[in-house]
Amino acid sequence: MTHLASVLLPAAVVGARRIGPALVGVGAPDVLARALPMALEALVHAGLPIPEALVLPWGVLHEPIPLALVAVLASEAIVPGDQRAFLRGFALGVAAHLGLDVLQDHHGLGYTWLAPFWDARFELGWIGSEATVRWAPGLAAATALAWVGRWRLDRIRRASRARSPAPGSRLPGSDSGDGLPR
Amino acid sequence: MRGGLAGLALVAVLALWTRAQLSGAVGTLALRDDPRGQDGKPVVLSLVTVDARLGDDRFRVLRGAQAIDVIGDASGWQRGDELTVGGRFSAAHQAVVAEWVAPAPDRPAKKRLGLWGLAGWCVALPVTFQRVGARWAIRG
Repeated sequence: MTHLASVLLPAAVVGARRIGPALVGVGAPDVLARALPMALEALVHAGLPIPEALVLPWGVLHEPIPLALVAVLASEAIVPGDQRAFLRGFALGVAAHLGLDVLQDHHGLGYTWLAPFWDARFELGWIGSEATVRWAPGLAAATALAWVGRWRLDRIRRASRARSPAPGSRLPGSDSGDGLPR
Repeated sequence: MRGGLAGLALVAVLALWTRAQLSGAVGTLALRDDPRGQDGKPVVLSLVTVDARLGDDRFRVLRGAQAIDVIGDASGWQRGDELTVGGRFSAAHQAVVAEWVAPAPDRPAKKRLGLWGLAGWCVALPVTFQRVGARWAIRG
């Protein structure tokens, strides 16, 4: 939830519109590398004969190099005109996710940033791994408020534009393009 | 073409990571597959779940699908507790001899928040893309 807020809150504040790719990027590391193997592990614990080699690979999808490959692969599902924007947004989302994660402390067991080619681990260790639990409700509320505020602001702007037509638009009864009635 | 190459590279990366774990180069499978080779080596079991108490001074934790025995005071732990264990592996005991244990009491709350986040993500994504033929366009 904190990761989602790390994209949605700034997007609401700056008025970003095409936020889909950043949302995909911010969620991808945990969906692919945490939720997927956890689901498989739950099936193993439930007694299903899932080979170990099917459970093991996914954790690496939390790291930048595999995520870059995921981004290129996923961009193939996007219309050609939007692919660059998708890759940029995805990278931004991943950066927001990993930027938050690197702050955490896992008792010296950081993230393998260059996996699978180098297994050295690094994290800054500035906050506990569960510290975000305390921030999450406030962040979620702030994000919801920011989006409600932005939605209302958009409505007011649209209504204001509808009331005052742009210069050059034709008004009923006018025969010229200057917008002034004759 | 580009997607195909990325897909192939991704499969290679996943295979490399799986091999690294199965060979014991990363992860904790070496404790199970090569206990003699791991004897005396320092181990940190990060954010594992207590599976069972096996006595006053021995308990079992789950790291993913792998069960690992830990020698240390088991009196404070219950099944489902989440913690990080630091210590050294003992081949003779087939267990990690704990030197320190750090509980992670907020872990279940973090997992619940993660599920809420996942639900929000699943709701938000379809709103931000739209189907155009066989592909997707960014909405907004």
